[in-house]
Amino acid sequence: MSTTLTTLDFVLLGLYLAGTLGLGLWIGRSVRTGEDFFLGGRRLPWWAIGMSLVATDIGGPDIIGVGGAAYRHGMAVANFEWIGCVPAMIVGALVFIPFFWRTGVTTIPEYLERRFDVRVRTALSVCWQIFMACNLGVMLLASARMMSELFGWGETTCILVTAVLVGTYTIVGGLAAVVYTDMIQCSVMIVGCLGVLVLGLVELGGPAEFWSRLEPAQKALVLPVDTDTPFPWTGILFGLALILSPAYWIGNQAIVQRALGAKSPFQAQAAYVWGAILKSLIPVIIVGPGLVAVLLYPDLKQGDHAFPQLVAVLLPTGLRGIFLAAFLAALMSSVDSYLNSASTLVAYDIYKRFIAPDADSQAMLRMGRRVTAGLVVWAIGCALLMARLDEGIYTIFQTLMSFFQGPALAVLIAGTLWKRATGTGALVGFLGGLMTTIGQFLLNNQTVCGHLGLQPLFQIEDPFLYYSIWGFLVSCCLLVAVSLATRREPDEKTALTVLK
Amino acid sequence: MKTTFLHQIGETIRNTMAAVPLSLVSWIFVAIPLVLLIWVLSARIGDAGDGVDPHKARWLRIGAAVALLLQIVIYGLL
Repeated sequence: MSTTLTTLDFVLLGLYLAGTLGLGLWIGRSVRTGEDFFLGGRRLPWWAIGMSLVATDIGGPDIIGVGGAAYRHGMAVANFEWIGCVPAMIVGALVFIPFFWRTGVTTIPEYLERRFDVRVRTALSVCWQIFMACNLGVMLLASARMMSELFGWGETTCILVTAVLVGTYTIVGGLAAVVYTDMIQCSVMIVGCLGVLVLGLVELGGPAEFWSRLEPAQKALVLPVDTDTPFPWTGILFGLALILSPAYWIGNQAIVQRALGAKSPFQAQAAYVWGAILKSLIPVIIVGPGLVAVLLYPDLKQGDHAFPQLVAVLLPTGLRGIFLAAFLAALMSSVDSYLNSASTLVAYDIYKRFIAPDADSQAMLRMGRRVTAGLVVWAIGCALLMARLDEGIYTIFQTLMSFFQGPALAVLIAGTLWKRATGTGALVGFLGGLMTTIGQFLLNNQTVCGHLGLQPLFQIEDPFLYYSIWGFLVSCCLLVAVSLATRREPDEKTALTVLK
Repeated sequence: MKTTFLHQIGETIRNTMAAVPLSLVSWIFVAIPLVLLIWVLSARIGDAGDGVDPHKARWLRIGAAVALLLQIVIYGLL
């Protein structure tokens, strides 16, 4: 399914790309120190950070993928933006984010060393670095495949153009460039997707007609345990709302780093609250088109064709260019964030911690730029390599890498809230939780189960929400047991690193 | 195909959860933002010690309340 673009579409797309690049490079002129590069000089305003949070959370493949999931499974997918974001963002805004800001850390693993020890810091940081490095390749490839399918462009060309473009302004401008370009990208994304939704609703005869024609099952947000979708209420409530969402909004370096770059704790809090309000509106523009497509084109072979079909049929010349810009905006806003955060983790948790503890601000700036450039090359190589492998491989790899979020949340929550938690307890809890999630994944894998003659462990398709619950619970149990069995951390260590 | 004790634990939990009425679950989805809203409105934001100006804290509280109210409306209506 390929969408034809006209000269006007390309002009609009070119203007958007040139504007983004120009803004990023212009911001880069004022980057003079490591703190400017990694934390935007701690001068970022709440309104820009809030929009950046939203833009980072929604990647290019998400726009197509969420629309596709809505086409197949109905509105339940919106839970990921609503109960799967807003409550955790509000708790983060009022409790955790100002606390992290005041500790003066640059990375979440850095906080964990202050609270526990270097082993915990390194274990979590390495997991995050591997995840981010691989995720960069996955994001580039998944987006290139979609662009290739949508617009008939070569996959390799899409990978190279996107990586070079995003890499250029991220290397030059650091976090400030990422946040301000994300803000533009968030706006473009909303306008582009809203255009698709409005034209779809007009085609259907208006919002009331659209709503009345949907089946009750397509409108349901809460699905039963035995649903044939990946979104039973148990997974949404316990896995998403209580585990994955707090892990993401409180413990994901790519997210928290923006708040650490705010002008003040209040600005960091306000950014999260502003992001939460925006998040309430996002499903309307990315889930809505998927539901519109169900009514307009009920016989599509794949749900992921829903958005492209609407774009190809409904959007006039010019608006297609805006939609493509929106798609690229979503892609770029995620890639630039992970590039910047991965380089922060490498620079602070590896280079400054183990190799050059005396590195000054200038040395950190140089290191940050070098690592970012290295990650761009890595991401391109990774994406090109994965493009030649079986498609399932990168999906499995991405899933596996996301398994540490439940255990990581257990460590972070215990560290901030429970004074008795110890470094050894945190490390054992984290590794135990990680092994649990990987073990569950293997015991649910068709090939492994076939060899062992076992039934798969879970009965729903893609039970990643359940993995996170068990990973978190096992981590908590081990962490508590081992902490109580080991010597408590000194009071001077916990005095400033535990919430009162 | 064999099963293990892990399958049996899972089956027990699954059956227990399946017995919970969906209408009750829907209320839980409303109750989560509702409880948070009550907490936000009563939380000591802006009091001495947390460094946030009381005037700014009020806006923070209003913003958080708006976000949570939207959630209550969404899960209450759908």
